[in-house]
This record gives sequence, structure tokens and C-alpha cells, in this order.
Amino acid sequence: MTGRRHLDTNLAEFRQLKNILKRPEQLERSRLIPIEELQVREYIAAFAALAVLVFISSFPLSLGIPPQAPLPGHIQAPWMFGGIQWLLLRLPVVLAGWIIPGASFVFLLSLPWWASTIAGRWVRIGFAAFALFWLGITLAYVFQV
Amino acid sequence: MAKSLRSIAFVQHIRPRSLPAHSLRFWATLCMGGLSFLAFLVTVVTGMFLLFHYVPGEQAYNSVADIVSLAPYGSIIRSLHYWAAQGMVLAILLHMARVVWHQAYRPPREMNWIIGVFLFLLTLILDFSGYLLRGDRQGAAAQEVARGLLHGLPWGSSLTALFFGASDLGHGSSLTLYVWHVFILPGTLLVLQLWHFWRVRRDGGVRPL
Repeated sequence: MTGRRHLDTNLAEFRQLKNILKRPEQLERSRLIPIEELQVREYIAAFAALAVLVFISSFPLSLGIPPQAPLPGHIQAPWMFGGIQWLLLRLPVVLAGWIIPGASFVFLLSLPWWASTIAGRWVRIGFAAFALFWLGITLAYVFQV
Repeated sequence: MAKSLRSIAFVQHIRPRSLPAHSLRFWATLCMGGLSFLAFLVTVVTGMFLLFHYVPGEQAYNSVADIVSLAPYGSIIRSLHYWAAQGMVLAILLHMARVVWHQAYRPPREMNWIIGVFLFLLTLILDFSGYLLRGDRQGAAAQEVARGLLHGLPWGSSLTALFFGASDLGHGSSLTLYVWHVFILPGTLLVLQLWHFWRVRRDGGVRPL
């Protein structure tokens, strides 16, 4: 029985080695790169991002409506809160302002636990549906749908 | 200087001499975590410049107008502050989507996922407080909505006073929000970010699918 187990272990190790030789990404897993290589990548990404940021920022930004001016008919919430504002315009305040955003926060916080009970594909589908819901109502608010 | 930095265990932990190649592939990270941190740094640096001229309270709108028209490079610094903050939110959203796609929330990374969700929440609050501090009509209206929401909660008036200051103090309310925006929220965000980075190294990088 013990001999059989040894044979199984050796066979498993042999298969693993065979896979490493077959799949280059397995070899890559064990490869280490020096921190300097990461630093070069970080500098390139940082300079590219900063260049885009400076280009966008070269266009003047609106000052907004002066505080003394009369309140305009439509008040625009910041885009990232557009989804909540869209809900607030249609649902009771507690539901739109606390229960739905709070449930979304709990949904995200608990993801590692509920995701461990279902297949990875369904986690992705569930997360995509969640993200599309918020993206959809945010866009609906921004474009006044 | 570099040697003395390397002797600090924390720095050595988050910046080890070598890293696994698979965790640094572009498609494994999309650089979004790093870019959100870069955006945070840009908001901190530009925010420091804005502090020299910004006046919270009733003068907020006029001081922003002065920053744009009178302060040297004020317009571009204000724009950088604004766009870096928007970019930070976008980068965090994409970073979260990437983490879910790679199933990088699985053990032993659950704790880091939770820290990340709190970082996202704090970033939203920080962004919102910045929106209110512009002192314009839209910001005032948004503040009314936020005050109304907080009032609906148990101990609502205390919570409103905690974040916005006592309403009967007038411009004092902006000062409370200003303290949250300049000190408390970015400070908490920085501590959580360092914890997040520390855990990234401790839990190991992303494995290819």
C-alpha cells in the first residue's frame, strides 16, 4: 500500500515536471526579476499617465455657479454619485440613499466569502451585473435619461 | 541614503530586491493599483499648493476664483488636482474589476480585498468633500442633499455636525469639512494604502489564469 502511494507521488511529480517543460508560463512563475526592472516600468507608466493628466489639465476648468446666483432648475451631482442621485429622484430616500448603496457596499465587502461557494465564472457574471447596474444608472443620470 | 532606507524592514518588505516575474506582467495588473496611488500623490502635491490660497467658508468661491486667475500656475494646478481625483476613482474601479477577473480576492487575499473596498469608499468621500469645498451653488445644493441623508439616520444631527459642522455656525461648517478633506481623510487613506501595499507583498502577487 505504501509502495503504491510512493509510486503515485513519484508519478505526480513527474507529471508536474513534464508540465513545466511543456508550459513556459510555469517556468515564468518561478523566475524572479530585480526591483530595478520594476522601477523602470513604474517610471514609464508614471510619466505616460502624468503626460495625459497634464494634457487634460491644460484645458481650463469651470468655476461653477457663484454662490450668490439663483439656484438653477437642475442641480448636477458629481458623476460618481450620479447613480445614487438617479435613485433618489425615483425611490424613497432611505431606500435610495442608504439601503441600496449600503447593500452594495456589503456585497463588495463579502465577495471573498460568497465567491468561495460558487464557480469563478458566476462570480464574474454577478460582479459584471452589479457593475453594469451602477454604470447604467450613473450614465442615465449624467445623460438625463 | 538608499542603504539606510533599505535597512528599514517595512521598505524592504514592500520593495524587495527581486519579485516574481509572473506578478508583474502588464495584463496581470494593468498598472491600475500603481496609477491610483500616483493619482493620490498628484492630488496631495497639488492640494498642498492650493492650501496656500484657498480660504474655507464664505470666501471659498472667491478664493478658488483667485487661484485660477491670480495665483501662478493656479489654473493648471487646480485642474491637475481635479482630474487626478477623477482619475483615481476610475483607476480604483478598474483595479477592482481586474481583481475580480483574476479572482485575486481568494485566500489569503480576502483581508486585502476588504482594505481595498474601504479605500474605494474613502476615496469617494474624499472626492465628494472636495466637490463641496468649491463653494459654488452646485456644491451647496449637494451639501444639502448629503445633510438630508445624514439627518435620516439615527443620531443624524450628531453625524451631520461631525462631518459638516454645526449649521448655525454658518461658514464654520465649511471649516469642519475642510479639516476632513485636508487632514483626516487623506491621512486615513495613506495609512490604509500602506497596509494594502504591505499585504500585496505578504500575500504574494497575482497568479496568471
